[in-house]
Amino acid sequence: MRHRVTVGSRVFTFHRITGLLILGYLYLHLALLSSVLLPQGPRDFNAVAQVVERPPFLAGDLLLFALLLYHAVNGLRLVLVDLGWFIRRRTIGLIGAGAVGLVVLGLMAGALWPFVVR
Amino acid sequence: MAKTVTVVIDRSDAGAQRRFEVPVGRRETVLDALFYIQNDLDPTLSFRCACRVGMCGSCGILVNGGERLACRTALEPLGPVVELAPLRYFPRVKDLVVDFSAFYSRYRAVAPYLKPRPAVVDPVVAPPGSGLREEIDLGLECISCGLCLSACDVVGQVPEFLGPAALNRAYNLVADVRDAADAERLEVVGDRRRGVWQCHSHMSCVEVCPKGLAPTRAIAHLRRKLVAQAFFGRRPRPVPSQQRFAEGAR
Amino acid sequence: MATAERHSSSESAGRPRPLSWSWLLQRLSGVLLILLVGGHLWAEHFQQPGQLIQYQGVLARLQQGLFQVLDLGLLVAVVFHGLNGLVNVVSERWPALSRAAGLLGLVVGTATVLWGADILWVFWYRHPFLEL
Ligand code: FES
Repeated sequence: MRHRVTVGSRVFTFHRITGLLILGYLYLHLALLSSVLLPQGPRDFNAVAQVVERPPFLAGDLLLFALLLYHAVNGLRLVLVDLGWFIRRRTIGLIGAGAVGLVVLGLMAGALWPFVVR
Repeated sequence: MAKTVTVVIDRSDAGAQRRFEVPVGRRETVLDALFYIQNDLDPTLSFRCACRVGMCGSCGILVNGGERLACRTALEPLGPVVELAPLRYFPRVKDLVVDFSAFYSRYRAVAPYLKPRPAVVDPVVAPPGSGLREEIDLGLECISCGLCLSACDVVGQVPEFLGPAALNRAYNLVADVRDAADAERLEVVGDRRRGVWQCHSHMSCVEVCPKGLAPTRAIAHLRRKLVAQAFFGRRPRPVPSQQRFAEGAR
Repeated sequence: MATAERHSSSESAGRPRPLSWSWLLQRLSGVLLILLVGGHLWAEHFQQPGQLIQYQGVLARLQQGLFQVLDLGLLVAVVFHGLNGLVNVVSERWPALSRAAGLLGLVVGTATVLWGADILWVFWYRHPFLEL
């Protein structure tokens, strides 16, 4: 018989997937920084900074931010569950986490707007 | 003509009949359908039950993929086709009957019975508002139906995991001031491989428990106790005696 | 009576106190990371929204002792949290590999922290191979 697929297990699977993707990004981040900085220093740093602020990279940034946000908000919810909160009221925990995530996403979109209209 | 439902049963004998047309009214349960099939259509069908009123915990099966007590699940709202299968992760004996030994060996590992402290004077008085009784009430009523174990996908991945029912029982005894064996129980439930650390807090066990218990809560509290114990040592528990509680209540 | 006493709490004070450090530190580092990653993103992107990240700006920020400590803390916490999570996934799926995964995680983690520290080093002092 297959594992039971419940709300909780879906949320958790996605938590793990986002975690692994973020770990992958960490290495990408370090690799980019070290390959740019160590041989040449400031000149290349600024040149690369100019490249990665173009729209396709910004979209990637946004995706990364979404992954981080999901992982952070759900992780916080899990920590609260470990402290005994939102167990009998799991739905409230999930909806609350979603609401917090959406608010932060809204703030983020507002902060990014200047880049879009630039 | 009476309304019928198609009941599809996962049989252990590949050659056995799997699909049955069962007449249904508003009051029939899944267990009633199983009895109808066994009495009128196929006497070789095996399933388990005893009390028929959700007390004994022997009729747990998968109904359309979800863990349910057959005797507490109404048939009609399930739609025209109902699929029945044995619980997950339990070895099958026959048809819907599974072997519960792994469930009980988990229970046994946590010493699921009270080991009273010598100083306890019976009956222990838990005054209203002391919280002693309320804490335990939240985890009582387990009928060891095994639905939580079948719903727990950590059990599916880490077969040694003690699982929701046994950990819930362990916490009940750890929280019981009359009990003397908290240290040895905490040692078992704190084990890295089979203990509380494996739980992912999916809360699937809370979702399926027919008694509305929350094993995830018990696991969270056990973890807290283990962390507190590792850092602050073991505080001797107050000796529960009528004298003491009478003073506390005053 | 003697048997009953053996089970009492006070008598068993010498028993081991089981605790999963991996579990506990994963949660502590997680909460810490919400603050540190949030601060990192804010400092890099949102202090002057709409402006490019410039080397001089990053340099000026990282020359401050506070940001050096924060960034190093972020590095250590993120590497621990990420690799410990990965080790957990591996040892759940393949229990036989859990020891090897733990050791490998330790080695890779140490190497990653050193690597990251080497990058931060560029901003902290004049890196030996760079003339700025
Ligand atoms: S028959 Fe006893 S619980 Fe269903």
